[in-house]
Amino acid sequence: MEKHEDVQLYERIRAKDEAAMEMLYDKYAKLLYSFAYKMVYNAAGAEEVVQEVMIKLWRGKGIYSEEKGKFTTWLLTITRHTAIDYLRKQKKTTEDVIHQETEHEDSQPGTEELVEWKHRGERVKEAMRTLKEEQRLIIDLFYFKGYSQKKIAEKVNVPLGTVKGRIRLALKHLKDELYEERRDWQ
Amino acid sequence: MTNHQCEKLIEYFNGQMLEEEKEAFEKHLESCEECREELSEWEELSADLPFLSEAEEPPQGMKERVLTNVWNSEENKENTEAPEKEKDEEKNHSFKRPSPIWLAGTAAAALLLSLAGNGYLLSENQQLAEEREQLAEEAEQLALERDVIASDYEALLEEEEDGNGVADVLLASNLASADEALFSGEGSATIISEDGHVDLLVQVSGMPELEGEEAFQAWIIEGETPVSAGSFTIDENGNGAVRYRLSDMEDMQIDQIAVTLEPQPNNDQPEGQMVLASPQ
Ligand SMILES: [Zn+2]
Repeated sequence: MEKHEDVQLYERIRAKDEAAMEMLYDKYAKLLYSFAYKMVYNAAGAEEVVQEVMIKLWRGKGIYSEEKGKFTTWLLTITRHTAIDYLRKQKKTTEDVIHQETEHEDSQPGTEELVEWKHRGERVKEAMRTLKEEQRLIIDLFYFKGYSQKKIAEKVNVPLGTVKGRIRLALKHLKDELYEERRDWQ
Repeated sequence: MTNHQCEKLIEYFNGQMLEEEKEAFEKHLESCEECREELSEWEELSADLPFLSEAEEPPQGMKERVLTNVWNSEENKENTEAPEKEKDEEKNHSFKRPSPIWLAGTAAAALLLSLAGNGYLLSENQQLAEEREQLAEEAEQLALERDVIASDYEALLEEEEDGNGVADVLLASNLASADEALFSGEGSATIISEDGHVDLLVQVSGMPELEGEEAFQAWIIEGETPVSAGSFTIDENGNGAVRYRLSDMEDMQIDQIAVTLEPQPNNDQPEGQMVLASPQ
């Protein structure tokens, strides 16, 4: 149902329906902003990333179809790529700073999506804690910083040929940890 | 079947390809089942990661800014960019932010002031006295963070009352929101002379919360060149201030005072949006 609603919105946006664009913004801006913020780590940058994503949607860059999976997943992928692009273009990327997971004070999650987001976030964070330090670092560099395998190899000081395997292994550990929860969600 | 395209899967997954490479890889995907499977595996493996993001509150006025730029992106495309350049453009698309409007004040600006001379005497005593009173009231409401500046300022006002004439308010100007629809907050810029120094005092109130490393930054604009007058943050009530020694600068002409919202403190040149400015 959720999916269907999003696809309808998306189709209306393709037909240049401004009201649909605004509805999509209202529905996803906070999620995308939070995700972009996690990646670029500054408010102005996160806003630019969200803006870029919205412009891509409006101008029909990148076509969504239901074979590509959930609309939300697709939207997050676009956001992640846009954020990686932003990071690459930022000359003064603070490459050496690995941001600590800070405990935020509760910001009141408004919509249903945000409540679910928060709930899932707790579980994923718990699962992350079971990983080795190096695995957490690799996931951060790969997924949130968009580092190439070569850069990861340099940063973590492991042979280039092993990077892909290490990323995959780290993600698999995480997934195994989350297996039970995953069944609940689906 | 393995070919060199298969090795690029991770690059594709992380969006590290140029447009042509991306198209080539997507073509390869159509014919390579292994890659399709592996790609969906990566997607599945990483599906939980976005949830590691904390819920962040988008900045004030973001919706209006973003949507305005979305609608404008259409016009720009038609007006200024050749359609056949589309692909190139996507690749090079730079992150457009609303460019700060450093309207150079060639006309007599409210804050036009030459600091070369010694003309410290007030010409509009009464009006300034009123403004000073208002500033003093604001000073009383200052939060802890600003105590140093506030006490300086109060001391300054007291000295004035004593009639010693050591310090003078040379000019005072309001700082108004560059776009009231998008940004709340207001402030004042005061230029004072004291003990042979000339200082600029920028005070703000009702400013929206900062996020992460963000900071406000005050700028002195001479012609089209902004000179930093220092970064500052705000307290929980949206109040903040910064003081800057103007007399260290030689022969400075001020066309305008502005405050921007910067992604990080102490920038050499403004990167963020102008949020408050003195009248032109
Ligand atoms: Zn392949």
